[in-house]
Amino acid sequence: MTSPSPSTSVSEPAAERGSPNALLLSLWAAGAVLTLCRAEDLRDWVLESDRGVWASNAADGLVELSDRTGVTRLRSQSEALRAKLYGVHAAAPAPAPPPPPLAAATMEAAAVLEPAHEVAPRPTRVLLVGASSMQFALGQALEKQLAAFEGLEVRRLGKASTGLARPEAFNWPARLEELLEEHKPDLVIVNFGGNDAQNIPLPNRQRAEFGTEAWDRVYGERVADFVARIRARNAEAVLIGMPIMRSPDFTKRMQRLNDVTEKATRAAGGIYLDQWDLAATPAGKYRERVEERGKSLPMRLEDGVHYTEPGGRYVVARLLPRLQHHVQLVPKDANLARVLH
Amino acid sequence: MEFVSLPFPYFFLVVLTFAWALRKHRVARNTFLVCASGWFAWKWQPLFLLCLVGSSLWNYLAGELLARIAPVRTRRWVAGTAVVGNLALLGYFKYADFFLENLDSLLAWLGLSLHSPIVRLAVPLGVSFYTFQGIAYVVDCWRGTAVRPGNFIDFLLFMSFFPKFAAGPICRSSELMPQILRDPPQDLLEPSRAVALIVSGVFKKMILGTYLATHMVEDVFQSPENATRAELWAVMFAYSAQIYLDFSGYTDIARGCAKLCGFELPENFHYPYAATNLTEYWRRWHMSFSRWLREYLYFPLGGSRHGTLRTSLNLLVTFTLCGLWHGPRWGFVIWGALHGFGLIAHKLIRDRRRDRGLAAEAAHSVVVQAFGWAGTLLFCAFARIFFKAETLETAGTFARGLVSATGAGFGLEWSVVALTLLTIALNFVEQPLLDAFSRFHERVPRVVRPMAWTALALALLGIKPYDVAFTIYFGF
Repeated sequence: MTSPSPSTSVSEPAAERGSPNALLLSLWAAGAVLTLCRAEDLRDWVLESDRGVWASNAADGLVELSDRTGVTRLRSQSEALRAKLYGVHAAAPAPAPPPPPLAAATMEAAAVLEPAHEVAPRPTRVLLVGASSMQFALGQALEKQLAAFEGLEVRRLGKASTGLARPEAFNWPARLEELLEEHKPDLVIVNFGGNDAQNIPLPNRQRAEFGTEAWDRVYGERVADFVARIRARNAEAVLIGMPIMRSPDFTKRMQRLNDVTEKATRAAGGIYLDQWDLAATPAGKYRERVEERGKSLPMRLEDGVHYTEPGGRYVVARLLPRLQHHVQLVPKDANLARVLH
Repeated sequence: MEFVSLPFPYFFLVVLTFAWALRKHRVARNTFLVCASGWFAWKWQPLFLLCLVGSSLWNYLAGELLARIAPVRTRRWVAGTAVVGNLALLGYFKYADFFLENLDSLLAWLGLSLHSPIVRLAVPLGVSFYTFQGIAYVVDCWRGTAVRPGNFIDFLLFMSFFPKFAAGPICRSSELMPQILRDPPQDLLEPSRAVALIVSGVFKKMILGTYLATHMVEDVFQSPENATRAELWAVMFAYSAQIYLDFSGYTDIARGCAKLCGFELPENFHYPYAATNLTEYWRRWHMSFSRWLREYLYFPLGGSRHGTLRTSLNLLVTFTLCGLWHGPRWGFVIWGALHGFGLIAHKLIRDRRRDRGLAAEAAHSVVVQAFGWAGTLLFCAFARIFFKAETLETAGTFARGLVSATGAGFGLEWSVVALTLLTIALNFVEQPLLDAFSRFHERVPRVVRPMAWTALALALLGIKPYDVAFTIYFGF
C-alpha cells in the first residue's frame, strides 16, 4: 500500500512568484462580481447583523442592481439546480409574482372564522414551515419534542434566508399550497420574520419602507393570506413570533414585525404564540445562556440571532405548553402528561 | 467570524490590500496585522481579545526576563511561573467547573458536601492554542532556542495572527518569528499554491464537512439506541471523516490566507487516514499539536529513555492529557487514554521486532500494510465515539450497539457512506490533486484569473449544503 509520507519532500511547485498588485486587482474584481451575485445573501446578513440604515439601503440598492442586470435570474437558476441536488424545493427559475395582496374584505372574512382551537379535532399531521430558525435549532427541537405526543406525524421544511417579504426569492405561499396538498396537515406551525424586516418591493418599482404604515399593511396582508391558506384547508395555523435579538436595533425591528404578525394572524383566525419572554432575561434583556441538566450553555449562536441546539430545546419545551392551550396534544408518556397538566 | 462565512472574504480582502500596501514598512505592516487580528478576535467577543492580549503580555515579559537573567535557578523559577500562569489561564476558563463538579461528586461519595460555586465562563476562542504556543515560547526561551521578538507588537502578531489564532496551527517561534522580523517580501510567493489551499479547504470544510455534519451524525450520536447496527458503523466512520474535513479544511484555508499575506504556516495534517499504524497516524494528525506534546510534555517526562515501563507510562500520561486538552469531559480523557494504550502496544511490537533483529520501521508486505491501515482507521474511528458522545452512557450505548443494536433506525443515508469513502480516498490522492491544481492555476493567464475565481466560487457556492456547521476545533 502506498501512501504519501510526511517525511518525504512535498512536491511544491517551483517557487512561483507573483505581483501583489495584480493579485489584489484580480481579487477585488472577482469580489465585486461575487458581491453582485450574492447580493441577496449580503442584504440578509446586513439585516440580521443590523449594520444601520445606510448599510440596509446600500444592500437594497445592490439587490436592485442585481435584479436589473439579470444576475438575480441567473442566481435563481443556480439555486434551482442546488435545490435539486439536495432534494429541497426552491423558487422557480423565473421570478414568481408576489402573492395577491389579501384585500381588506378577505381579511375581514378570515377574521369572522371561528377561533381554530374551538372547532379543530386533535391534530394528527403537523407541518412545520419557516426560515432558518425552522431549518435549524428551533425546528429540530419542535420536531423532536412533538414526537413525544401521541399520534403525531411531523413534517418540517425550513429554508434559510427566506420569508414573506421577498416572494420572488422564494415563493412561500406557492410552496405552502404544495405542502398542504402533499401532506394534508391539520396543524401548521410557522415561524418567519428574521429576514422580513426589510423594504418590500411593490409593482411599478415602488416599495414599502420598513417601519412605515404601508409596510405594516402589506406585510400584514401577506401574513393573513398565509394563515387564510392554511385555514382554508381546515388546519390550525400557529404562528410563532420572533425572539429578542442581541442587536438593539434588530430587536426593535422584530418588535414591530411581531406586532404586525400577531394582529394579522389573529385577524385571520390563526393562533399567535409569543416566544419573546422565553429568549429574554426576567428583566427583559437579551438572554445569553440557558440551563440544561445543571449546565449553563449558550442560548444563541455567535450571530446573536439563531438559537443553539440547547437554546432551541429550552424554548420549545416552554412553547409547547403554550400551544397546548390552543391545541389538544396528548403526551405518549403518562408522566409527561402529569407534568404538563 | 468563521472562514466560510459571508463577512470573512471582505475582511480578508481589506486586510490583504493594506498588508501589501504597507510592504515597504515592516513595523507599520506588523502593527496593521496586529490591529486586524485584534479586531478579528474582538468581533467574536471583547473578552477573547482581552485574554489574548493578557496571555501575550505574560509570555512576552517572561521571555524578556529569561533573556536578561543568567542564574539557572532564577531562570527555572521564571519559566516555571510563566508556564503555571499559562496553565492557570487555561484551567480557569476551561476546567474550573469540571474540577469543582468532580470534587463535589467525590465529596458526596465520601458523605461530605461542599457545594462549590460554579464559574460557568465562556471559553475564550483559541485559548487552548495560543496558551500552548505561549508555553512553547517560554520553554524555548528557557532552553535558549527561541527566536525572540523585536518588540511587543512583533510578539502580539506571533500570538494573534488572525488566520491561526482560533484553531492553530500551533507555531514555534523559530517558524513564525523570523517571518515577522524580516522585511516583508515584495512579491507573492506561490500564489497558485495559496489559491489551491484555500479552494481545497473550502471544498473540504464548507461542502463535504458540512454535509456530513448535518446528515445522520448528530441524530445518531444524540440517540444511538434508536439506530441500527449499519447506521452506527456508518456514523462511526462518518464522524472521523467529518472531523478531518472540518479541521484540515480550516487549516488549509488558514495556510492559504497566511501565504497570500506573505507568511508560511506549518503543515497541520498530512493525510492521516493513509497511516498504516498509530504512531504514523499521530505524525500526520494535528501535527503542530502532536509535536508540541512530544517536545514539551513527552520528552520532559523522560520520553523513551528510561526503559519500557517508564516509556509506556509517559505515553499514557501524554495522551491522556492530550485528551483532556480537548475539554473537560471524561469522554475526551478516555479517547486520549485509548490512544495512549494503542501507542504503547505499537511501541512494544516495534521493540519486539527490533529485538528479533528486524528494523523497527522495515517495509512490510502490502497485505500487512493493508491490515495495519484498516486496523488504524478502525481504532481511530472507534475511539472517537468517546470523543464525540456527550456522555459516557451515550458512548457506551453506541459502542455496544455496534454489535447488538436493536433500534428502529433513522434511515441509512448512502450519500453519507459515499462521502465518508471519498474522504478516506482523498487521503491518498489529495496531494497530487493539490499539485495538479496549482500547476493548472499557474498556467491560467492573469487577466483570466478573476473570471476563473468567480466561476469557481460560484460553483462551490452552488453546491454548498443548505445547513451550517461550525468549526469543531473552535470548541476546544
